[in-house]
Amino acid sequence: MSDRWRGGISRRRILVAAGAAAGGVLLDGCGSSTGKPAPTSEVNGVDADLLDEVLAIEHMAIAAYAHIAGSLTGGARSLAEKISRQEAAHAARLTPLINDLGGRPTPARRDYGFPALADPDAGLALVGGIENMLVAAYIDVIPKLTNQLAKAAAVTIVTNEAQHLALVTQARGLPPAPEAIVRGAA
Amino acid sequence: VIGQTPVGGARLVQTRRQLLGGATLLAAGGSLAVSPAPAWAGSPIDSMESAVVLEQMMAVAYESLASRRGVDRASRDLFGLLAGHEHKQAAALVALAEYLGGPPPPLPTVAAAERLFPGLAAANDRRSALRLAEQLENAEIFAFFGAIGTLSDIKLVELVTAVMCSDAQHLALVRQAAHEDPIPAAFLAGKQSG
Repeated sequence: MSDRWRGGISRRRILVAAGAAAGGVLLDGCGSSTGKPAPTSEVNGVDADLLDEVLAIEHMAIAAYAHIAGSLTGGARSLAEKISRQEAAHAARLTPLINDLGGRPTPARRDYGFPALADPDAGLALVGGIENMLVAAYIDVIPKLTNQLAKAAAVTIVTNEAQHLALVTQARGLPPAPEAIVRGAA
Repeated sequence: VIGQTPVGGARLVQTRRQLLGGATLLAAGGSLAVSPAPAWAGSPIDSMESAVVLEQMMAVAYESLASRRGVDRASRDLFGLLAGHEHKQAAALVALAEYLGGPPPPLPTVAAAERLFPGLAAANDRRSALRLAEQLENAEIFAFFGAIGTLSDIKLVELVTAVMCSDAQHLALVRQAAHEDPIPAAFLAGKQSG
């Protein structure tokens, strides 16, 4: 088994490791909600497509939070509004990255066909499901990304998505962190 | 020297410093400081063991906090939950390390955790315990964030990301318990404390 493991140490991996060790490539690529992302200086259609997959779900999440806002009150509404702003920041971060990588960011759809909400919990369940989708999608995408800026952005976003998932779950009156290994659910 | 790992016929001799160096939590001036990446840039087995040791140390630290008399019941319950999660994360990393050919390191003692986390011994009330927990979670996320760019094994990257997601949830809950904004930023990479 160690041979298999050693076999995974490619030249590319060594180069990536060397680059990262010199002060944290990932840290340099850490997303900012306010700053313009540094250009990637690399056309990478695969990474662009991967990021576009999660961008499409981010757009859906933004629309979902807007959809449920009217059904919520008090702390739950404040939470949903705050999370919605953070989802918008994620989309704003991903869009120029996809452009820089040579991709074409998928725009938000006008209508996602969300169901009418019977009660506030139905709304929270809807966005909880989307948060689960987001975490699962990022965890699927992150190991496949080769561009370090793209990977950094994705990692700093998925950690925030996991927090959203916990708080939305808590707002439903459920245990907020039932899992020690958080993989989301497609 | 606390571990010798057979790898592909060779033996990796690992010192305590090397094991702790990767996810590196360093005691500096009585506060917690974290340095990402350096030891993670070594062999993958070193990375796995560094990660396991870090998780084990976190678990031991939380178990200790959960038993402090001066800490309120709700916080002790939270620390108990987090300790359980850190144990499970360590177990998942151990399982992957064994799959990859490395042995599990021994469970550290509370004294070892107190040496690694200087604030632990003095965290005897709710406020200081939650503050330390926030530092620990931020430091852990920061350490994994610094490491993840050096990893290419898909299973390992997936697991480390999933562990980071759990730690991010811990951080939100700890901040909430301390009556702070649980999600102050849209991007989370952890941070070095010091």
